[in-house]
Amino acid sequence: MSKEERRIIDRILHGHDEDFRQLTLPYEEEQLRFILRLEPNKQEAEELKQDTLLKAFHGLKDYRGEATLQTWLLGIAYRTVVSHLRKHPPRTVYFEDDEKLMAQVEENDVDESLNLYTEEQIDKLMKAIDMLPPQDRTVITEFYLEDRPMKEIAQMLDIEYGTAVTRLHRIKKKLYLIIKKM
Amino acid sequence: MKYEDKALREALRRKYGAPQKPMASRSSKHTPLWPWLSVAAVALILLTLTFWPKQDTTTQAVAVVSEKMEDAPKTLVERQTEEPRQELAQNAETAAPIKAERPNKVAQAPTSEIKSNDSYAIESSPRVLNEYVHYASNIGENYQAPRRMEDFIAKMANYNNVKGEELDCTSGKKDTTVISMAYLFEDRDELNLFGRLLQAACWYNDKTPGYLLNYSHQQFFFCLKDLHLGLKYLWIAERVNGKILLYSTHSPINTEVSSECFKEYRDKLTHTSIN
Repeated sequence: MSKEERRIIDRILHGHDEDFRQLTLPYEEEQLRFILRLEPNKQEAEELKQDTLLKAFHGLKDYRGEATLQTWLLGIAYRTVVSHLRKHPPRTVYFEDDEKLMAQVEENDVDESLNLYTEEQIDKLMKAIDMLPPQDRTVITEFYLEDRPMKEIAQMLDIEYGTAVTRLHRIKKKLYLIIKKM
Repeated sequence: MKYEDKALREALRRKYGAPQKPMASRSSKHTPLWPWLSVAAVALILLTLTFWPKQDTTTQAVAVVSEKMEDAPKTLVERQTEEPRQELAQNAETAAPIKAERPNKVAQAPTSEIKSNDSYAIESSPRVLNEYVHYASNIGENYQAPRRMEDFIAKMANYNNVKGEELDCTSGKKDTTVISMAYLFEDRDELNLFGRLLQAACWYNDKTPGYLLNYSHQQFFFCLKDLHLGLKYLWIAERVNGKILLYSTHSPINTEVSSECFKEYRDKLTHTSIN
């Protein structure tokens, strides 16, 4: 957390509510993009963003600066969207974890498949990504698209670092299995 | 952690669009850019000052070794010493990082000069032209086998009369598929072990599976995977009390290897007399 952010948070906690917007504005665009990946409906996404900001405002006193403000806000956004999706499940059928199948998958095959740079393979991957549950989609988009460090992704999802790394391996295997079934 | 997964990255990019990094806007809002620029400039100057004279020393050291080995049969070692010499001559002019030059060098690498009829014929071109060669079912002429690094170390040890010691680095029960060796080299300028290891590491394209290279004045750390043989390789060199401890290991990709044995070996060396 920067000194400036600390100063603004102190002011907000001392009653200057109007400063909250100044604190979150630099992250709002990214927040909306993050939400849209899980909830593609723009109107819903905007509302979820507002919910996130409201939760952040009320939870600001509990923010201890262990994660960056950006990660902390995205963590709130993530929980808000997941909670919304539980109440309003999308029509997509998520690909279920199948331990037995997963165990049979060779890492080399997965690596080969996810590096196979052909139009057909990329198309298949795009479809396969849709079949991943929100947590999995968050992990891969944040890791591969946003180049976010695994430590921050773990903080965002409120899971251990090791769990996040294992999760990434499992998601890759899962994508491989989905593609194989296509 | 290093994950390429190019097709997956591309699929995500097409699906969600390229990320518009908010970092830039944030950093300009909250953190001024100039401290980073000045740090980068200082680092660049330091790197230039550090590596410029060292490359000359390395060239000399390589030349000395090549000269001394004139009588030796035309083997892998000679190819390896020849090759960095050409590369260094080019690098000395630019002093640019070797890695950044890789793709162009790949195309220029002279392969016709290498005459070999030994078992390494498939490695006659020391450069990897196409990263997919690692995943191909057949080993083509451009494939650079990771085991060549091991052979290079073994020959260097042999030439310097350094005897390798086999370590048991299996986690738990004895596993004969895990091969670990430790070598103790003199830390001499003429030998320039760190420089030579780094040059050898530069034979490999950073797209090689499992590629992880990290080095400092104190330590050299290098990992590779050989998908054809299903093996993973690890090399660690460390300066310890005026000597260089070089650890070399390979094992099947899915086998767990503990680095405890290396640490124990190092501790044993530091606690007893290393000289």
